[in-house]
Amino acid sequence: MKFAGDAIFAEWRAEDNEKMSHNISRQESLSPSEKLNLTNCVHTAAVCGAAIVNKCADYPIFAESITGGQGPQVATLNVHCGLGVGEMAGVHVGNEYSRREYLILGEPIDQVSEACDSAKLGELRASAAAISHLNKYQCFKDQLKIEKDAKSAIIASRRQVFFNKKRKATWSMNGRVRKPTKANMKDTYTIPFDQMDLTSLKYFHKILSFYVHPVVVSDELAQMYNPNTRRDGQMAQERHRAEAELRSVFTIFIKPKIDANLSDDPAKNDKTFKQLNDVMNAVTSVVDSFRGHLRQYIVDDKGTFMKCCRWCSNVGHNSSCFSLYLNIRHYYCFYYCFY
Amino acid sequence: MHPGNKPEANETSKQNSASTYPSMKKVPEHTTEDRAWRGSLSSSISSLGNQPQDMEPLPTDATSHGTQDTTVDGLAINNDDAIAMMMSELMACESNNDTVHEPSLASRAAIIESIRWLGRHIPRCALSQISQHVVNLGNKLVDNTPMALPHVSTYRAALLFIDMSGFTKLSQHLDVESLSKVRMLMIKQHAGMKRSSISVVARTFYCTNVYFF
Repeated sequence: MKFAGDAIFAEWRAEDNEKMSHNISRQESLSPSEKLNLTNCVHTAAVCGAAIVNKCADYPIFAESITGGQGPQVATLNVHCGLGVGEMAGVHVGNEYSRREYLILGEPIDQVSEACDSAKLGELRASAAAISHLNKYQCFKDQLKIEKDAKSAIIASRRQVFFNKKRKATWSMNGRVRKPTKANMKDTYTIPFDQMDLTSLKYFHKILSFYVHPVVVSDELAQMYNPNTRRDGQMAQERHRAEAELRSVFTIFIKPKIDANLSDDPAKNDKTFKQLNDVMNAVTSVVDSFRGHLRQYIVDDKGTFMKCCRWCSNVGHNSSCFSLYLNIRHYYCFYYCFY
Repeated sequence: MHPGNKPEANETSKQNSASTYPSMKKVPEHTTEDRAWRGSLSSSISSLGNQPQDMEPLPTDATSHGTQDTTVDGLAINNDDAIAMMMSELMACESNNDTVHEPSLASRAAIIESIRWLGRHIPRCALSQISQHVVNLGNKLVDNTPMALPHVSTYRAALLFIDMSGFTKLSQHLDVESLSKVRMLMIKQHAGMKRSSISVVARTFYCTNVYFF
């Protein structure tokens, strides 16, 4: 039994070199010195990672007692983190009628993957590029260094932080974690609904549904057409979602053998993006014909992975004679893993 | 004096009625089918039990009851009929307001709520790009101009990867029955842990985007 979705990528985009359309109000309210440059981004991410390993390392899982209270501890969950920095690309792939995905790719993904693999449980490690940014806030004697033959260095553990959490910029939390407040919550993107008529809203809704898991979309559509059940159906909705994730399915991992890294050549990058789009559309069309669906499309250091599944609640585990022929272009090679 | 004997006054009445109530239209003449239809309608109304028996059937010939005062939807009627028709149209307009605008607002609110819910499952940067694209399309939606795919944006960023461990080990140490009993609890607590991390990341550090894998 495998659980997907136990990893998180969090990114801080530099504000000094791009117009962040979703955060213009905050951007305009800041002076140039307060804007989040790349060094500030790295520092904030490092402080965040240190807080996470401090807060979430050795997280106990307790069983539920008969009376519904807290029972004995049955397991311990843990975290380890990696930090990287650099040029990235966000790519929308898919089509206009069924399915889309938003992919991120770039050198920082390779950095964080190596750093996280090197980090022990409860540790935060940073890549060489990230450490060079962090050292800008370190005095000379406290400069972070990377060991020989290593690509990353530890910068925080459960109880210790090896970098200076305070920095010169006035915007940051200066090493302290802010409590979630309404003011913090306001720093979120506001969709400009007032600029959309009903036709635009319907189009927007349709496009958004292409990015979201089909189970969530079907649940949401059912509730949208019967709004009276929205509040009463909250528990049922959560249960249906959990059941949808846990029912018997055939899962297929597909690894296209393509190089999805960014390069300095724009033409080569364009070719890569188009190739990713072609892979997405080809797999979606074939999986759709088998009444399955694409669950994840990941571009990481291990390559490009697509995870598809086929619903088979009426099929027993023994009858696993499931075959799938993917009629994709000849230059894509796939690995199949059946559970 | 019957109004039909004063063509000028009759014409003025028609103009006033037409200008006051735009839905009232002038038609040059009635066809035989219209008159026959009105005759059958009046006879069916007269046949109702609670209707006064002395109700006179509407004329099937224009000349038998004088001339028309006003024409509504192609039917010739007198002033009383015009007032009655006006009232019914006003009431119909009010009811139309109820039946047309309320569902429109309700459907708009439902779609917005649904968009907000779906938007929670999409990275914020992708959401902003899609919404800006829709806003920029504006009236061009009828042309069905899609976002050119693949759509790419490049940027510089710091990336933090948070990997959780322990699930696979836990699932391997428990048998299927025990696992089925505690799996909901595991998911619940795992979700709690994930929410905890997310709250740290998103609310206290002004994180730009969060992706789950």
